[in-house]
Amino acid sequence: MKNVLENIKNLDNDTPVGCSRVIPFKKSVVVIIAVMLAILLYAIILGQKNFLGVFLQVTVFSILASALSGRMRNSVLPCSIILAFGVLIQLTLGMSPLKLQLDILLASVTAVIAAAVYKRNVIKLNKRIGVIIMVAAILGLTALAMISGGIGGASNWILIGGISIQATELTKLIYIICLCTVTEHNKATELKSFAASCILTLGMAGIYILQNEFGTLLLILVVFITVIFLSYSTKYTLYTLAVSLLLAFVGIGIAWLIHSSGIRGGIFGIISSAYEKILDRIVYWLNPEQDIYNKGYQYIQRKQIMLTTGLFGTETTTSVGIKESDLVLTAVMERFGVILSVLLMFLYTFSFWQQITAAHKVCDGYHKKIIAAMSVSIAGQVIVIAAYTGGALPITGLCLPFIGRGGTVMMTVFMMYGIMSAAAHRDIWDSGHGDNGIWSDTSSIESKKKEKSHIKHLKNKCTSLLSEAKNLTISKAGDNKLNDNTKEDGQNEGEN
Amino acid sequence: MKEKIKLQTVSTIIILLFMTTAMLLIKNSGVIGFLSDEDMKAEKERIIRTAKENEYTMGDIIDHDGNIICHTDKDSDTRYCSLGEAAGNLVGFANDTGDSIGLEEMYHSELAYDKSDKEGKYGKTMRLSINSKLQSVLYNAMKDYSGGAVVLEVDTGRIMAMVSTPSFDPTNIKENYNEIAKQDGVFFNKAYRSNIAPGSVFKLVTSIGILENKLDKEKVNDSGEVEVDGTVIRNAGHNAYGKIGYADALTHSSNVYFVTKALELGTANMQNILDRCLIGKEIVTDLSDNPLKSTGVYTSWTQKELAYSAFGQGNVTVTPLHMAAIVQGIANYGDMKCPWIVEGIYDSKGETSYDYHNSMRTLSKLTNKSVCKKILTAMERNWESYSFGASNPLEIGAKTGTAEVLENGLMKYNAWMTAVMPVSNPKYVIVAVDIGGNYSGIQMRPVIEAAAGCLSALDGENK
Repeated sequence: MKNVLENIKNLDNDTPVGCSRVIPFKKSVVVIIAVMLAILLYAIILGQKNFLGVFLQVTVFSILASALSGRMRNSVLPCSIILAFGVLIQLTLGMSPLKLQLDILLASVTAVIAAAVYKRNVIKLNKRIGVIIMVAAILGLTALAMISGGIGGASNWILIGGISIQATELTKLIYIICLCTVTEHNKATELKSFAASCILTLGMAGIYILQNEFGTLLLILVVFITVIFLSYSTKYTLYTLAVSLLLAFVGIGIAWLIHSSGIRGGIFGIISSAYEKILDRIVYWLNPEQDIYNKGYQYIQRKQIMLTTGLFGTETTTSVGIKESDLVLTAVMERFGVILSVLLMFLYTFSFWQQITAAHKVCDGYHKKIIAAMSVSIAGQVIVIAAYTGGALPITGLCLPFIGRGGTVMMTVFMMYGIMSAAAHRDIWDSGHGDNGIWSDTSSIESKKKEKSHIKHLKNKCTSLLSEAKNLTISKAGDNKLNDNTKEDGQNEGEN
Repeated sequence: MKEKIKLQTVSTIIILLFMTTAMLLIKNSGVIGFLSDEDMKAEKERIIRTAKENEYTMGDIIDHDGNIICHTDKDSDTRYCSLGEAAGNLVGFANDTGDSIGLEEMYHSELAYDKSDKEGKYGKTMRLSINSKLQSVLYNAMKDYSGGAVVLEVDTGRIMAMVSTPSFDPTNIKENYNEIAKQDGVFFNKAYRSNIAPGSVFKLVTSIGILENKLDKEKVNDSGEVEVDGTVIRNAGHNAYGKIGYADALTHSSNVYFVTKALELGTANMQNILDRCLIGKEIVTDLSDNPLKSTGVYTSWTQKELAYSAFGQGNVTVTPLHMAAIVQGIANYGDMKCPWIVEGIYDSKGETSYDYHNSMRTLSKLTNKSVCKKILTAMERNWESYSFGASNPLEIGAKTGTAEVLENGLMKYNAWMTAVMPVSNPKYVIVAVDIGGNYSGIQMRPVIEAAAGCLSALDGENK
């Protein structure tokens, strides 16, 4: 009997458990339209006239994303709502609707392309070449950013013919895929792959330090620790944490020495200015009153906005600079209030949870890792910004996914969702069944046959197990009856 | 660890972090009362208030008769002060940069916002007890000195004028701030805040003890000096006045007389008089958050210290306003009132919730009427002695004082003159002091005369 129950349990594990929990496409369309109409009504109440065109685009694209995302649909749905609010806040902050529409269109196209490329599984199948190309891409993008001069002195932007691309966002995405690929190993290559991942991360850390991108550095370190934790035994994670902390202390010590020595030539100048930047951010975060009109200004404004916004927000948007990107959550707080900001946090949490749920369903470790790493990256970004807005961290320069202004940021996040949707599509990596959106390729006869044969196989398995269970129950009942008869006989004998 | 558990661990940590940051947003926004501490509530209130104030234009300051002293022009965002330098230290200013002084600092929240004025968006109007004409006259008379001067109304303690020199013009303070700030002590209201040695004007305080205890009945043989604990104390100019009584001693400002009588009075009696004059105690006024301060505790003093204090040297220090309040107490026959300046703060509808009667309170009962009358008579004689026989139609009674102050090895003087007018029915008290200069008390006479003349003219106008 025990064996039979275990078999049923295993059978349950074999079934695509996630399928029934993913909201059906039709229902998702209804949800999208209902929520979008509610947001449209809210926008009208707020007096936002430019919203309609972008709103229609967001609605259509959300429906398309829902159709394409398959098992990631539950995660994509809240993001559509966040995006709609993001559009609303950006229009309120004075962004051109046309630019916004273009950004969304471009991001959506790149997301589909990224997903289509990823679906072919080329990187996993050509691991070595894939890693080399990715490392080359990271170095190429960084070099381009350094050469092109960047924006406002920052060396993390590529400027080509009036178009600006934030190189760090793209390198971050490539790094995540590269890291997950590098950490793929067997018993024999465990140490080698671990070392390769460490070298890759150290290299990335060096690039981000040179580019003064400490927010992104923090983020990739979180992703790195997560991937190490998922790929290797716990002791590797502990070593990584310890070494990372040690390196951070040593790095800060060296930077302090260079800064104190007064040497400013070449690399020393870069390190010194980076040290100064971090120190300033920490000092004025802890005590913004020291320089209320300059370095502490943003922190004081943030605090004031937090305290004055109330549950439903105010009629104004902050006069603080970078309110469209770095301080966008502060602007959301000010305009829409605490309730909506917390609701957004809930939507981000729900989306993340659904990504992890989808990762659980994926059998292949590599793709599972890709989903986990990307979801941690997006979640980390949101948490860091929310922590800054709440006053628990200094400003980092990260941008809030789906809300913050920035074509490259939007493109990267969309690409991540595209890749995650492709990674969560089980048809590619295992037998495949259930509602997988467009990725299930249901028009394919082969796929349908596969699905049918799998269902038939499961049905047969179920029937055989149930009949086995039934037989066992009958035989047990027979045994019990026999025992009872024996007992009765014994009693009768005693009475006699 | 199994892959599934690892993934669950990661997701749990991230979800917990999400929750924490969401809670942080709720907590730090102060929307939930019990999650906000007192500091946060106060900060929130301040920010909301500041935001409202930024929308409003500073309200007017007017004088006792309704003449505008300060007004802000909305279009040019300039605050004009009609009295210019004459009221610079008194009304002060409230800068965006946080450098604020004077009444504008003290009453900034009232002047900056008036919830009843939703259309005009002007702050409340503050009415002061001063008279603009008298203020100007007093300032012009004090211009050549470096010190402070005060005119009080005897019955009420109302400040009719208060000046401090050097001063500045609060008009266009934003543009001129750096230039003005270069002048030493220009933002310091000396009449209110300079806690200095009073010199012989303090003999008025010692007089209370002498007259109350009837020590004036016995004359003192003034040989020009008196020895206390091995230290010789002399009269000013080393003058000897022979056998003199109280009135002559006050007129000649005999140190020997007052030292002798103070030693007879003893520490306890002097302490009692100082307590009644609130010397050594803080007096809260409506002029500033900082109370009036003075020093002078006799309890543990030696005979020498007691002797020096009898004529306002040694460890006794007072502010000009405090001294004016003591003289006002004598002129008011013992009823010492708190000096006050704000008569009302009005909203756009002309309504006020500010009651100046709270400020116009009795601070202390100094002594009885007969003692006060004796002092006032002696003061009148004293003033007449300065006039070399000229008539005293305004019935001014006065007492001078020249306190010696050693500053960086150099002897400097606080030149005081306190006056009451008219002595027969005291209405006004005038106190003028030059601080740390080379004047003597008698040289402050033009200031007293100018103020007295103006007061007399004002009385004539009112009639």
